[in-house]
Amino acid sequence: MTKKNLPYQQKIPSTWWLANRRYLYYMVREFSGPALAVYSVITLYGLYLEKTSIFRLAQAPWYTPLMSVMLVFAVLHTITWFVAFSTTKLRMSTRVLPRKILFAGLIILWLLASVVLGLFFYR
Amino acid sequence: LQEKVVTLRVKRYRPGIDKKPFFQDYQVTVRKDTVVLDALNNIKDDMDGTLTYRWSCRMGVCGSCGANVNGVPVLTCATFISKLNSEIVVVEPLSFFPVIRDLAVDMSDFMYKLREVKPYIVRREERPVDAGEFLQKPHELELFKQTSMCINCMLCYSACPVYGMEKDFIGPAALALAYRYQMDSRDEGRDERMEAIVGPEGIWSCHDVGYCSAVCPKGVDPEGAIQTLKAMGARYIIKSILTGGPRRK
Repeated sequence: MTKKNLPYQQKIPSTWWLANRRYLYYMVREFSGPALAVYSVITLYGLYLEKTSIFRLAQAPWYTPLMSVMLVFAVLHTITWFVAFSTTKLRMSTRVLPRKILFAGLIILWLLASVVLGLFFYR
Repeated sequence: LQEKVVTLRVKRYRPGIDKKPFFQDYQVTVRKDTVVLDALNNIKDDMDGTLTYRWSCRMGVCGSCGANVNGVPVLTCATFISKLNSEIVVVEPLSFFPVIRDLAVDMSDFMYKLREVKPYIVRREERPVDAGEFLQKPHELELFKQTSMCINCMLCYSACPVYGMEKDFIGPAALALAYRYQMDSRDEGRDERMEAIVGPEGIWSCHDVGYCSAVCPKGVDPEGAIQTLKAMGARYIIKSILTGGPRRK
């Protein structure tokens, strides 16, 4: 193949992630990762503090708006991660567990873990 | 049948003539049962014999006629123009692959990667034909049957932004086929195959975008196959560390 007959290398536009809903959904999930990290750090710091200090922290003007936004991202990240994980073909004996059941199982486990942790730290 | 005229806006690239691709419009008369491939054939036969694209079976089996139609990777032989609900139908080559000419892309990269994952049954020792066939139970077949439907049409690669940005990524179809053989009860090459796919260019590069499974015309679900391979790969790595090297049966 001569140089002038080389195939054309297609370029990826910087707006590729707006091309369809799946890409957009993926990018939102990826960008919710750092938000989840911030949310986790603040939450862990809150758990480390004495109860009176937690209340003081929660009364800061930035706390409720920031944590509300972060909570939305954290829930979004968790659910979308469960959606991705539930595509796994988990074998139970001779059958593959249906995707919906795996997803439901993950949600139940998540809720149970949240209740247990909540009771443990805030009793 | 009722006919109407639509515009087929085809992305063209003529190596040696064009520096970059451009769009060319063709007015095509279509009916309710006209697929995009019919329209392309109509152009080639009656309007512009230089238009280049691949096709063969015309029934969604050979996987040759993949293209992006209105931005979505599809088999042109299975895409009815009437269902697109669009007066202008944009036809482009599959994304991320080098364009040889017009809608024909170079898929050699996939062929090399497919070879790496050993898409065939590996046996430690061949049995003589007289020993009979390898028997398999229906539930064993069920584990991989879905992924064996892959026709290598490359729609999943065109849908995968990771493949577009990380050229070393093995990609959805090759990994789905790796899964197909990993799950086959007759196969004895699981460790060798796993070695090929647990590297950085293998399963861990998949970011679970999931569009590959959405566009697959055969319902293969590469995303699910890769997720399962990740679980198997993690187990394989842990076992290799604990046993001091790649596990061998």
